[in-house]
Parts: sequence; C-alpha cells; structure tokens
Amino acid sequence: MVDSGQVVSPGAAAPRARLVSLFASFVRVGGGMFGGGYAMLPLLEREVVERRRWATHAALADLFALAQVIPGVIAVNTAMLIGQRLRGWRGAVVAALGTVTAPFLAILLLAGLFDRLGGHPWVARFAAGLRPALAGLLLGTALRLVWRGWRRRGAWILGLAVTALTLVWALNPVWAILAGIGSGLLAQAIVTRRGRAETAG
Amino acid sequence: MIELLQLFLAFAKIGLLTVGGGMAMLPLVRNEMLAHEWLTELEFVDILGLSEATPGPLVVNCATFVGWRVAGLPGAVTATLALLVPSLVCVLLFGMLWRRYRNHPGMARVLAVLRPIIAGLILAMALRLCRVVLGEVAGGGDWIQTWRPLLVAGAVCLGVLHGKVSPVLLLLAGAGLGAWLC
Repeated sequence: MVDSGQVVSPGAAAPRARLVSLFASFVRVGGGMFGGGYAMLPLLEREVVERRRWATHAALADLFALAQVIPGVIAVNTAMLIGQRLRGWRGAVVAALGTVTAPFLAILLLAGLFDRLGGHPWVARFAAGLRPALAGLLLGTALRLVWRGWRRRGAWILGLAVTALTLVWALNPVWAILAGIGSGLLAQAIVTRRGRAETAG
Repeated sequence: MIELLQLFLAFAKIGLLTVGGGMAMLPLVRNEMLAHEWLTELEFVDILGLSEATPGPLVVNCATFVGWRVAGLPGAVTATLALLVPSLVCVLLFGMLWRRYRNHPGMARVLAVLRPIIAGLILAMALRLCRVVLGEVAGGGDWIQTWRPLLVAGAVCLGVLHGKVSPVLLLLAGAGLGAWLC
C-alpha cells in the first residue's frame, strides 16, 4: 500500500520553510521542554512533523540520532540540523537561536527576581529545600547512567578510576575527555592496521 | 571586556568537549566556574537547581545564568552564544564529514570509551555536590538537623532511580518537602 500521507521521504528535498516560522517553531519547542534533551523528541514530532509537515518521523529520528554524536547540546544540535536541512546555514542559525530564546528570557527573569528577592526568608527557605533535592536528583541521574553504561567489566574499571581520580586528585574533566577521545581513536587505528596487515600477509 | 572574552572561551570549550548531551557538560561547567572563581560550589548548586526547574536545555539555562552573574546582560548573551558556536561550526562546516563517518567503527569506539568516562565524571560531581550540600546544611549541627536534608536527597534519588516520574516534578516536590522540613 502506498502511503499517500507521507509528504516527504527521508531522502527527498524538504519543503520550503519561512525563516520566521522556523524561528517561531523552535521558540515553541525550546520553551516547552523541561529537563534533558530526550524530553525534546515528542515536542519536535508534534511541531516539525505533525504541525508543520517539514519532515517525516523517520527523517526526524535520523537527525536526532545524528545530533547525539555531534559535540554540544543535543536539543540545539537537532534544531540546527533541521534548520540546515530546510534552509541551509541561515536555517541552522535561526533554529538554534529560536531554541535558546525562551529559556534565555525565562532565566533572565528568574535571575533578576532571584537577585532582588534573594534576601527574603521565603526564597532562602525554598533555596535551602532545593539544594538537598538537587543533590538527590544528580546522584540518582549519575547512578542511572552508571547502571546503563557500565555493563562490561572494562567500563566499570574505567568509570570508577575516573570517579576516584576526580575525587582524590581533582582530575580536570577536560583531560579525562580528551584522553578518552584519543585512546578511542588510537585503538581504532591499531585495529585497522592489524586488519590491513592480516589481509596483506 | 576581558571577562566577556573569558566567558566566551570557557563556554565555547564546554560546548566543544561535550559529547552525549547536557549532563555530560556539567562537570566541565563546574570545573570552569571554580577555576575562574566565578561561582562557589553552593552557588553552582543553586544555579543548577533553578536551571533544571526552568524550561529549556539544562546547560543553556546554566550558561545564561552564569553569564548574567558574571557580567550582566552582555555576559548572559556571550555565554549562551558561546555554547552554540562549536556545534554550529561542526554542523555547517563539517556536516558532511559527520554524516559520512557516523557509522564508522572508530566513532563507535570513541563513544564506547567516552561513555563510562562521562558517567564517572558525573558520579564524582554528584557525590561531591552531595557532600557540600549536606555538609553545609548540617553546618556542624547535631544529628537531628542532618537527617532532614538526607531524607529529602534520598527520596529524590530513589524517585529518579524508579524512573517513572519527571525529574522536574521530583525536584520541585523535593524542594517543597525540603522547605517544609529544613
């Protein structure tokens, strides 16, 4: 059966979108998302696929997956990729700016309020309650990550070593990440060379 | 002016070195904040809490907040944009490269090494922030004062591990409980 409801296939050229509507759409997505990047996907599907029909579910899922391996904030990366697909570099810039606009304004408002009301006993009390709650939230999130990511023994050792180095010797996270990227590439280079040597020999 | 440049460089570095999304950025943010003495550990915790409770990507909120704290409105604009610049460059200039090599085994290998490293960094940061927060609340007081924040932190932590309720709701409920108890 031919799916006539499918407006754009993943490979086909995307329909033309106005930069203004692109901006407006991503302001809406950025303002509606709470918490992490994964909270964004349902919002994006509603806005980009169902409302605007700029892309199919499959195309969106593909861009979302690509956004995970590009450095930076996943939500912003996804927005940039969609914007770029629709309107080139202008689209990418506009979509990225749109995504951060609502949070930016919300934070400015909140920061202004916080600075002005910081001395108020109610605010102080809320902050005192917020701190242990956030500590628990971070610990829970970290444990979930550990649970999900450390299935293999090598990963356990590596992860615990990083935790210990950070806690005991204040290891700079920049070095930890650069070392991770470097050793991943090195391992790949060794594997490739060995494979080549085997086929040659 | 120097301050704005430092803010820009700090957040561009954070944006460039983050693979795998917002949480992975937080240890880098914390490190930069403490290294430049822009925030104390407790201020970082407060800003994180408010960023989590505000709509938008956590790190973007955090960058805006820190920028504002360090250098007012120009600082907020600089920090937020600096966070976007590396990804924009990656998408626009190297977009083709990324598309071509996304399924390359080397990419998978780098990610496989990075994932436990990032989890380790986040775990260390979480443990340290727990110690700072609970230690600060306890403040050398007796045990009766200490168990309340511990109870709040433990309840929220269990809620996250359970994984059915939105973290934002958990955070706000925890903060409410904490404000009532502490």
